[in-house]
Amino acid sequence: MSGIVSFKLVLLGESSVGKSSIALRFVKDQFDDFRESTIGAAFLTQTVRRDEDTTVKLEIWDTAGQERYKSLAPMYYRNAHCAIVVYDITEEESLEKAKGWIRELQRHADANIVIALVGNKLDLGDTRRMISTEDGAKYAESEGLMFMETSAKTPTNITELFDAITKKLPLDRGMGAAQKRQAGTNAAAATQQGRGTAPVQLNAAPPRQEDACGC
Amino acid sequence: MQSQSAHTLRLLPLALYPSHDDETVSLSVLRKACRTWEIDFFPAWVRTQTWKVLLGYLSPAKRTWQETVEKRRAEYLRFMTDFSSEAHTAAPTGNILNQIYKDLVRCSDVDADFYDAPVLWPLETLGTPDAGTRHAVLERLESVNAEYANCAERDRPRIRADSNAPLRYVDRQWHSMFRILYLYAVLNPSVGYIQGMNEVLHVFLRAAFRTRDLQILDTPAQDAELLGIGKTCYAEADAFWCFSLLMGELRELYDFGHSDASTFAAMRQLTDASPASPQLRNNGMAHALFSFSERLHMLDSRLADFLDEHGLDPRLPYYSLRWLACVYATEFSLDGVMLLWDVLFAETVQGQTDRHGKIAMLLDVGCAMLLHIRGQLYQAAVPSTDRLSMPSFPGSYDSPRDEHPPLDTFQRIMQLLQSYPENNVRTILGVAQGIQQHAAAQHTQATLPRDAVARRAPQKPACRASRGTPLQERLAATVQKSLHTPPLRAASFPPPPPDPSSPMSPIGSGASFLRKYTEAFQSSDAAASMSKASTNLAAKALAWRSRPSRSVSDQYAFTTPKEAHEHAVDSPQLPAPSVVDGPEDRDAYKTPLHKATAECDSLSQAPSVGPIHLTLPSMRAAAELGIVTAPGSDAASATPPLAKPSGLSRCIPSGTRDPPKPLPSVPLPGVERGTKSHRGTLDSTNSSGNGPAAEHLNALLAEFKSTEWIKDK
Repeated sequence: MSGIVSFKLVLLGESSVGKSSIALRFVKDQFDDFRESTIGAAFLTQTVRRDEDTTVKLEIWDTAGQERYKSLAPMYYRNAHCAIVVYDITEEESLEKAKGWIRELQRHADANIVIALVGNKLDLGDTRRMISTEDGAKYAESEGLMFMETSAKTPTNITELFDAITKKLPLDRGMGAAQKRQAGTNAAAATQQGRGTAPVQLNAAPPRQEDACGC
Repeated sequence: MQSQSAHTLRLLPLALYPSHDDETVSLSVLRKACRTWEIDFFPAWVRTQTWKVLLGYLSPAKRTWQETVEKRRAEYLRFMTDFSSEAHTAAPTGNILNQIYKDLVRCSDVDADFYDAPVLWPLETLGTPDAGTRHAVLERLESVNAEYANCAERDRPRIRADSNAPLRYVDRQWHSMFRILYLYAVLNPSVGYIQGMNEVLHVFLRAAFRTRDLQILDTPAQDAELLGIGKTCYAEADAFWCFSLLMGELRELYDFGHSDASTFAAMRQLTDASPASPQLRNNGMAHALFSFSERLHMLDSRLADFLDEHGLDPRLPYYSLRWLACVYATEFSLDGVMLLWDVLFAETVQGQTDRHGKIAMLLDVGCAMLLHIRGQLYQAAVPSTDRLSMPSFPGSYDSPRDEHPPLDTFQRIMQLLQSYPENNVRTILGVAQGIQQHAAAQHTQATLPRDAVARRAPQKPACRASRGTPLQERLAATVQKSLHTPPLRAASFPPPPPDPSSPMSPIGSGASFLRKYTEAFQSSDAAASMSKASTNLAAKALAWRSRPSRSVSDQYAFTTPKEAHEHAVDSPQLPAPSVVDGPEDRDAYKTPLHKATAECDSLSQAPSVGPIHLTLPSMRAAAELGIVTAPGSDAASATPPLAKPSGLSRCIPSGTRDPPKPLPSVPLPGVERGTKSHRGTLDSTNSSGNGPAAEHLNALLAEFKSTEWIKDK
């Protein structure tokens, strides 16, 4: 198993917690204090060297955070290998939303999906923090998720976050070849073609993730 | 005749100028100006005014404008009063306030020139209570949003006392946007605020912004105020109404599926009512995207298959969703978006065919965008090592790609489509209009025998009867009835959000009537007026319940813009054919020939387009300022050369009120060529082209021909 292995990663979380900023920092090493809201979703890619012979290519879906776009989310997280669920450490509400996303992923996403819970805006941690590191970490541990606090602004822990995720991904499950994607999209398309079948209803709930790592 | 038509278009500013003595604005002339991209040639206020008329904010009868505008602006302030205080808007709006603020503050940093631009409100004209009202929403924001509460002083509205000017209340543009979006969300709870709406509203306010910046000098204050020249304070109310009307028409684009139980239940109900097309009816965005895909398949199946193969079919919400949800506001430059919107607003909800005219137009634009860059799309599938040495050879995307996972292709295409490479919207619009004409021609062909029969004499009275007075009366009765339904206990407000668009609406008999009526009249423009009326109903119902002390008859003696329009149609002294937006008008657009015939027809009838008398001092002043263009030689040199209305030379002699007869000797565009879509259409528009659109189409034709080999391969 060498060469390029591709994985699909999805960013979820409440509006304006910094999903797009994390993606942009990781992909282009840029940061804007203000970014226009994401409508629907944005697609980015970045490659990470995992080890001597393996390069991992991350195919990133950066989704819209607003509640009203929620029904579209399955279109982006279906077949995803990993998900980063982001909350804003200065906004209590955002952790609750993140928990909601995690529950949804556990119910409807791929059973082996690697989930990372991320508390963003660490740069505001000293002044405006509302959610302690322990709270986030404890929840992540109880659910068997990866956990990290980041700042896309300074930047802190962004590369580390993606490195850690990359390490966690089983190489044999990546999309080394065309077929995987092909199958995925055609299935999605076929269901859409069923006119009006809501994407939400597509997935029979896979079994809850039991073998999650306890990192 | 030919010169008269050109004359009319050139004099569009005169026709739209409030105190010019034309009585009505011809909708067909406005639409033509929009479709031929003429609006760009005129001063900014012509565009804002055209949009207001085409969206139905203003009726074509100019004498009603002053009253309408005053009433609507006052109404807007009243809504603001009603919904600013916490008493009427409990918990749920906190989220809305927060969300809108977050989105606006993000944009305002990127485009500070506009978002932070001051809006001045003269206190003496508005009165302090109104200023307080506008402030109240922001105070509520302050109470729910710590960030705003801590923000710099410059972000707050304030009273400004300049030494030599009266007291003024100073806002910023983003405050205006904030209030409009908030109010829209509160008044339309089934839609609410959805990210992307801010982008749409932005275009309206930008247009108003440009109008404001025109010089006023000698223009009478009343006219300037009506047009929104010189002051921004009225732009807010005007933009609110225009935005609401557009959102009402495009409402289905903001239905992203069945995310919550209430939407689902509402859909059930509709489904039960008419089992024929359950999913397709209320499927919102999903359905629009599906139509997008279908249309692309019809136009260029190879391109569609290519996209599908790479997982990029437009029905997937990857790039197409943003295009539609923002009404393309994020895909082109502001000038481009405005031009696109001109063409969009020329379409009615009930389009040329049985499709939703505006959404069909949006889908045509989407297809045009894909078709236009299909060379680049095919190119993106070529493995990168081969790309430099190879021309765009579509076959090669099938080549072995072990070294290059198809992800590369997906990624490259997504990159292209996420930041669309072509910023010349005219090219895109040209293609889109070609597609549109093709679709119209096909529709005409498909329905020709029926139409031919229907076009004979009895059509008009019957049609008038169905959409004229009886509808008007019944609608008015409905409004009255629903308003006189006792309020559902003011104390329980706001729990079940009253929204007449939803069958679950608590407005009761009125709502079910509306629903039934909307269904019955789906094939006529009545549907459009219903949706507009229903927006008003929701607003009225909410306002009423929150303020039960007011006299109902006084407060709700109103007509929707559309009703006013229909009044205008019904009044005997007005030239009905030139303003009526009826089926005969729609038929007229089915082919350029019919269009020209109808136009010619209405010109001969309409007294409103007679010789222009430049007797009014205001008109002279306006002409001197270049706000309007004076007729005659000056005008000819001042305005760019206009479209040659070639179809007119062949049209039926004027004076007859018979419906336009199809002339068998002239082929319908695209029909004979069957499914060879754009090529056929483009060819045919050569002979019946209209102005810049035709030129662009010709240019495109050449381009298409040069790339046509791709298809044939």
